[in-house]
Amino acid sequence: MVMINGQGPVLGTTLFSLTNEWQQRLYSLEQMLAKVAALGLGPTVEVVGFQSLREFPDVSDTFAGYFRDLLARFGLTPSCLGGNSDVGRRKGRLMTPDELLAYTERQIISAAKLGFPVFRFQLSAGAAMLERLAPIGEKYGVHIACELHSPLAVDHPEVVEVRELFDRLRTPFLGFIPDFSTSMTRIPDGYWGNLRRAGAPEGLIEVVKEIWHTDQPTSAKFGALAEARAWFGAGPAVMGQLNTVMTMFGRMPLEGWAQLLPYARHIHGKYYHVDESGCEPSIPYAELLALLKRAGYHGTISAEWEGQAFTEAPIGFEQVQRWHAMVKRLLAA
Amino acid sequence: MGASVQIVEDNSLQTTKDGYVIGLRLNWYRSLPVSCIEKVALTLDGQPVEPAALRLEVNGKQFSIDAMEDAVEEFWFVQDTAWLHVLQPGRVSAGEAHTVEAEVALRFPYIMIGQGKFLTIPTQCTANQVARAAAREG
Repeated sequence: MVMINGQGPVLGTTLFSLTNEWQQRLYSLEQMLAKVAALGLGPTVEVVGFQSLREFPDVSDTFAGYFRDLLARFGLTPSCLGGNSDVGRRKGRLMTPDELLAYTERQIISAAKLGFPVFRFQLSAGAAMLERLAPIGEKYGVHIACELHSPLAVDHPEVVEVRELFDRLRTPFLGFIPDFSTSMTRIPDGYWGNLRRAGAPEGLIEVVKEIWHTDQPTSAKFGALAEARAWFGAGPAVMGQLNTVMTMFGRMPLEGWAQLLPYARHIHGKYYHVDESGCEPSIPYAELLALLKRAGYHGTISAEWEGQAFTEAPIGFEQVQRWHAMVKRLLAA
Repeated sequence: MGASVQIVEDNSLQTTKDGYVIGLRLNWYRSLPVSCIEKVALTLDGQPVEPAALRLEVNGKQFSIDAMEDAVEEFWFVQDTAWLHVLQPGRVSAGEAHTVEAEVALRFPYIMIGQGKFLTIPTQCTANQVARAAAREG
């Protein structure tokens, strides 16, 4: 965890928010970091290794030196390096646990070389793998933290199993990265645009809103969505979008955050759209930030814009600027 | 996430000494190993190209369709073009207009959707391009 002043959360940006700009080759890594700094979107920077770093899962000493120099020059601090559990990289079979351990250790070594204190890993790796990774994290001084976003929630069996491991080992080198998408109050407007483009009639859209707001288990919601699709005679493209609604947008009650925060090594400030009035209509930012303040959370939090799921427009920088203005205003309140 | 580019790169059709190449872009937010490319297929002016004539060039290395699944350590970087070579000398000449249709299916090796099954997304893209003279090595 980066603790810069010990007072409240330390803000920053993940370059994932700039996926559209990056894919469209509008910026090099150096140009992107320079702009993050110039717009005041630091002081911390998060990077997805397999997105931003050409040599990943390894990084050379030359690149590591170059990267550290860049951050120092721009006055930025590394927060979290995103890694992946690519267990399916071989076509015919899964990676063995030993292969996955070796593949992950390479990524953790890269995090250490680049100066990232936290390594984002996937909860799907499971408790047994995390237990084997803990001493590796300790060896390299890197905290290994599992991303916890929708459809996972505090009471999900996989999450409970990992929490039990954390409680048993009591090591600071394992923890969570909770994501604000776990606790949404509304489905983002951009999603309905995707659903309409896939051919969903308005009647189905109204039913989907109703199903999402109910408190039945996720599995029951999948079934209800499939039935609704059949009733309205919508095609398979619509079904794909309907499954997205359940996996991307969570409805965990805010009380769940109080249980998660003791394990938080970093936070993903997920959002889909901050509007002209400076609000994110689908995520309760005021309540979430008040909760972080009350809990005394003073770790890092990244602006993580995921609106690229709904638009190819390169508006990431504008959206991240709006997030920082919104979050600073709410934290000062 | 990552659909902000078309898989057939604009103005990328070029002749080579062995045939022609077309540029492909990765339409996902992160780099993937070549072994996670489940399918690459190409149609030129409505005629399917036989898979044996295709080579995919990533990081300066060329892979036949059959060899791709073993390339677990060759990563296709998000910002890079992968060059799809077609070994058909003389099939395309500089200055000619052609319709290319590419299909690429990507397996996301970290998104398991069942025992041993991973989210796999196919994308098709059709483009009309005028071939340029060999700017790349065959």
